[in-house]
Amino acid sequence: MDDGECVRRALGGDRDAFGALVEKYKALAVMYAFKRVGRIFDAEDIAQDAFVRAFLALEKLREPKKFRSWLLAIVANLSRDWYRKKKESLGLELDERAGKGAGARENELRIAVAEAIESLPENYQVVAAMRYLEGLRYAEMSSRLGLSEVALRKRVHRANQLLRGKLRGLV
Amino acid sequence: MNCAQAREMLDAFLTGELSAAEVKELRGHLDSCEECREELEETKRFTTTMMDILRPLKPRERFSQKVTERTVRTPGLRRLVGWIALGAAGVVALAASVALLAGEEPAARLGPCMGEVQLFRYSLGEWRRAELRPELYAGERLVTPPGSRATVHFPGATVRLGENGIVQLSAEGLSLGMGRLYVDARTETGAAVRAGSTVVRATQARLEVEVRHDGSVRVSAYEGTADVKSGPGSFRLREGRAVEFVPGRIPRKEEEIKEHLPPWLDEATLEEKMRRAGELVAQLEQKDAHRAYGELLELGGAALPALLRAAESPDDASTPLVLKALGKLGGPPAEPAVRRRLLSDDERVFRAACEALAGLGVKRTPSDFADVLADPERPAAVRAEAAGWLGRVRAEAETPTLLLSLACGEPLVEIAAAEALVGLGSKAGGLALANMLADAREEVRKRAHEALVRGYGTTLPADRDAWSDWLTQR
Repeated sequence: MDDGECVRRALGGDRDAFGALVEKYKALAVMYAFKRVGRIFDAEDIAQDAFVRAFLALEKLREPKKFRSWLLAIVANLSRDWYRKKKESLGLELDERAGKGAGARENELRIAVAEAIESLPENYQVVAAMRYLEGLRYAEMSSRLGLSEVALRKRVHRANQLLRGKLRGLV
Repeated sequence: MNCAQAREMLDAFLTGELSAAEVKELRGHLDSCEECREELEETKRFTTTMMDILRPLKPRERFSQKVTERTVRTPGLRRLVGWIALGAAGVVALAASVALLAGEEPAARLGPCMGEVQLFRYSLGEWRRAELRPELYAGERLVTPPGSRATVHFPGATVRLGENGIVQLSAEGLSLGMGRLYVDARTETGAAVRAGSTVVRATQARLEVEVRHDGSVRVSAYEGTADVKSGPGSFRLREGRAVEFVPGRIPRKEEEIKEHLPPWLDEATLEEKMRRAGELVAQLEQKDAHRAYGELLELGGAALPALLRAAESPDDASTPLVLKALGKLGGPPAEPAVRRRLLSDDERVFRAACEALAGLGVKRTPSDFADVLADPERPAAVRAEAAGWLGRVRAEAETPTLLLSLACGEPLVEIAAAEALVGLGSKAGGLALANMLADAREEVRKRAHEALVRGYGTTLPADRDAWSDWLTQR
């Protein structure tokens, strides 16, 4: 079932259809939020909020097949709001995204990897997030994406090659 | 099998997800191809490293379930409680209670109430407002907006819910989602109150349970003792003692309480505050209005009845401040009164209504602003203000209305619409403003230039061609 079909069914009251979209994009949404706020738990909260908002505003989505970019725009907006509020309440400077503690180095690396995945073509972003962030096996990815395992192998392989190119010297 | 085919299979080979025939074929190729053997090692290393780096970001097990739970509940729940910033523990407490179905026998009877007490029932997938009536049923929820409070009689106890409170009735007792609940359970049957993960049971006792915005719970025993169970631990709270539970922390040491009753039950003070609020609202028209306004805010919910009365009267000099105060204190009961002021043709009142709606946490409906902008009967200053709000709430869907307004013939509206479009990332807005730099009227040129500088954060001179070129090259 493609995104457009999922959205149409969800609008018709089929909660499982929206659930399928959550399963498909949750890793990507968390990663997008993380790249913007640099904090793991906040990123997950933002991603969750984004899905809830998307669900509540689903009928406003004019082109159902563009669910992915619409969702990620919501994630970006919420991340911006989060950042503004944090800045207001703590007087944080924007460059403190990666933090300063012992985990700062890992966080910087994580942000760099997230950036690299975000720069991939759309189709590869989802599989990269599922494979590396969620650690999913092919059978599970295949059921979530509705793709054959053979097609997925090609996609993961291509994503892997592109990422190795982008992250040379880092990973 | 060639190298390209083999490499596409390497990752699935590492996860053990190739068929026996595929494994055999791949192994055959690997035995004869050193480059692909190296590629296998590199794939393994890269994948493992990537997983190590990204694993902490893996969404928790209950991610999808939580989203589903929230989408089931949010439409009603958000509207109901968003404005009193329900704490996380409160949500959990309410969530636990949502499953309870309405019983056939009344679970309690409503006693004397003050202010705009509200009753909600869960039906057809959302919380719906019900008419207030004497009988209350399990599964129903009482809400006390600012300035109101409710009394409820149970078979074993009488409880009073202070302002900004939410309780849900169940067959076993009641859940306190937020606010202060005074429980008079001087009977053999007694009462049970759930607040977050804390359960308080008492007979022959008077106590107070409070759930705060941060999710912390405080239990005070004014008379008799209370059995308190919080998480895995349980103990008996003695008379004249209070204890506090903060999520994730060890309970605070018990402390002594000296009062005989919770201070908020002091009716005389409240009435005095309401009387004072009436005086202060009348002073909002005067020169030192801001002092009165400050004092009104300090009165909190007690100022609400006087403010709502004032909001019902025609526009006057005090209306913007009345709306401002309602935006800070009002909550949902204030929304209709504030929304009506969007019809005002006084620019200051209109702006105050827009700001108050934002303060109330009401879902701002861009179509309200778009209707105002598109209405040629409304004054230009009000329409310009509406255009500004469309930009502020990032109403991309209303871009056509903004574009149409670029040629409405009212310079003030055209400039505001163009500036809103700039904010929404539309180049048409910038170019329209650039064109206005060649307008015959100096005031129009000045405002258009200011809008361009604000919108793009760059200080080109007020010259149409300079801005047009710059915008085209962007």
